[in-house]
Amino acid sequence: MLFPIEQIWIDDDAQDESMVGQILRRLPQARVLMGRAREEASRALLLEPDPLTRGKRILRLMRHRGAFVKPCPGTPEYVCCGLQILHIGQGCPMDCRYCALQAYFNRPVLEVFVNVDDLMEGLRRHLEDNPDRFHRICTGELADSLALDPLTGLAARLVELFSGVRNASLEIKTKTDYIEPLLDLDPRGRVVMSFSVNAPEVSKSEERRAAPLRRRLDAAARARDKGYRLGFHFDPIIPMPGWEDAYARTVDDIFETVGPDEIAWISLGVLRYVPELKEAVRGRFGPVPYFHDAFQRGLDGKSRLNVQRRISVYRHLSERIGMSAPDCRVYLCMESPYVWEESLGLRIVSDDDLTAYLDEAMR
Amino acid sequence: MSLLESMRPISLNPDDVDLDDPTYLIPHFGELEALVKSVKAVGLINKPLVQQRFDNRLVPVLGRRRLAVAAIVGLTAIDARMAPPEVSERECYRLAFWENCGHRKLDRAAAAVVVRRLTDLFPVQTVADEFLPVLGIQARGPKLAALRKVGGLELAILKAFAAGRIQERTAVLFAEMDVKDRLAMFRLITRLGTNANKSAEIVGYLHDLSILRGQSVCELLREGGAATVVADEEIPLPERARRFRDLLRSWKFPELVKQEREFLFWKKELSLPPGVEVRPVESFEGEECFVEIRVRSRDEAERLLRGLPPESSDTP
Repeated sequence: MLFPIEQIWIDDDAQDESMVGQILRRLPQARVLMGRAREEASRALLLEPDPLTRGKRILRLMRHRGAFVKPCPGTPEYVCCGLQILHIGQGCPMDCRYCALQAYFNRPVLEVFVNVDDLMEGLRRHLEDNPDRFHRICTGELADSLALDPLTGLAARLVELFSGVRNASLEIKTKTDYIEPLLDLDPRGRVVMSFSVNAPEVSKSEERRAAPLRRRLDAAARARDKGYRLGFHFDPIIPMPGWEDAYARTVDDIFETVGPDEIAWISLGVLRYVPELKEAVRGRFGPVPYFHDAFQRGLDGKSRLNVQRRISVYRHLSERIGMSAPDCRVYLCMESPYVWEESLGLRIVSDDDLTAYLDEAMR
Repeated sequence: MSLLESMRPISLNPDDVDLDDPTYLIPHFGELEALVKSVKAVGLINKPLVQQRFDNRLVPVLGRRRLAVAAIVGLTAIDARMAPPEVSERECYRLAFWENCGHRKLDRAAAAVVVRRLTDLFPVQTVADEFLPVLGIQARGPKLAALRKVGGLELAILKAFAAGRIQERTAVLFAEMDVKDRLAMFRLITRLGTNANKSAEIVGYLHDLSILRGQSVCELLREGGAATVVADEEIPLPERARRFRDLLRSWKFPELVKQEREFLFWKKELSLPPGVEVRPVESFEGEECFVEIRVRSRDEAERLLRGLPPESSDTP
């Protein structure tokens, strides 16, 4: 277990779930809090000046009550890729300085949904109830897909399930290299093992406790060898001075490690954030220069860099990718049709266009 | 013996009390005129409470403003009460808190000072349980940490915050700055006489630029003609303030300002007829424009709309 967990909080209605016992056995040194003690600890945590730093060492085992599969919350102003999120938990033990989750102060601990039977059942039902559409499902939206997998072992169960369905694919998105338990399974082309990547300098200085970039790429190669499709997400791209060469190095490293045909998709997204995030980051880390760049209000209310700057970043990266993989499926995360056309030369004007473009890679 | 019973009546000269001592400060940034009139008319209705500290200084616990007014109106002997030195700071501050906050709502600047002092004196859980609900402040650590910093700002800035001349987010930024930069910025917005919104813009731009460029605010203000704009007495103050904000905005958003200028130039070239306006899409997030035509009647609007080409799939 790479990430240190000091406390385990167990919700009253979650105690009987079998995953609770499994996690407790794997974390014998952690202090377990339940009932009133958990509530008091929770209140005390929220009073700390930086609840998130401490919260990253606290695991809350709880039942998820809502739907387990939900659409990614896109905005009408930008084109969304139609990804569906499978909610396995919330929070991340890594501590990237740019992480959007920091804007959620009210839930600073690592939440794991332990009612896994409900999750598997909900997922099965979701796929069966919508048999005519293709489902691209990802577990790594509000959590890293694999960061807590050494405790939960959930990813392997999901790979087994998805390897047997025809109308869906699973994307496992991570900044770790915890892929070993998945290497004995046969994903049958239904699983994309994807890695968040960045410029080496950004990865080193900003992605605290994440696996070094080289290890992520080595993990990608191992996953590829076992039949997994691969995905790479350049998100967030931070156009600091010298970004052109820095990001080009990562692109080149990817293609020195894996071949273009093994990649399902590569996404690009320049840093954008809800305004509260800037304050949260400043409060936790002091001034982080790139958050003070020329961010202006985007159509969705998020702070975004000027559209021409974003276009030049996307153009540069897609051209670099194209040098090694001219047919690679590159896509933009939450950008407008104008930006799509100007940067990639693709006419993607609606969510349906982008959904079809990406589904095509997995059908 | 209770705290209140341990106090003894005394007569004192208000000039002998150290009114700048912050030990039991619950600030009130309002003016003193009304209280001066009251004291002149009927004297001190409620007796102030002071404490003799171990260094023999007298410090105010309750009635700091009353003591200040007594000194202003020239009273040399007033009735007061004295708390013994062995009464703890916690007990006296709790008394001051309830005497003030039990009957008046503190402004955010005063609340910040109080939060700072409360978190110095009490465990944070006590502050959260006993005091924050009265102050109407959420029991959240990061919020308290920010307020604590604001509570340590200079009196002039706190007064401006209390009076609504600066916003809370500006106060928070001030609290995070180097003192030299902070005071330079505060002097600047005071000199320009900008309202709270415009001050927030100026401070926000300067703060961002200072961090992004790795320069102090004072260095930024010395370059690029900023100081000249502010100091040009020939130009009326509101115009100077506008030019200064525009200058900072052009530093902060160079691409956006360039796009705006190009758009204005293009629009000028169009020589639009009266009643017609063209606007770009927000933040120039595309080539699309909005064309606004003012007409005299609904009939005229209808005629105009009927003349438009039929909707195509390309219509945004």
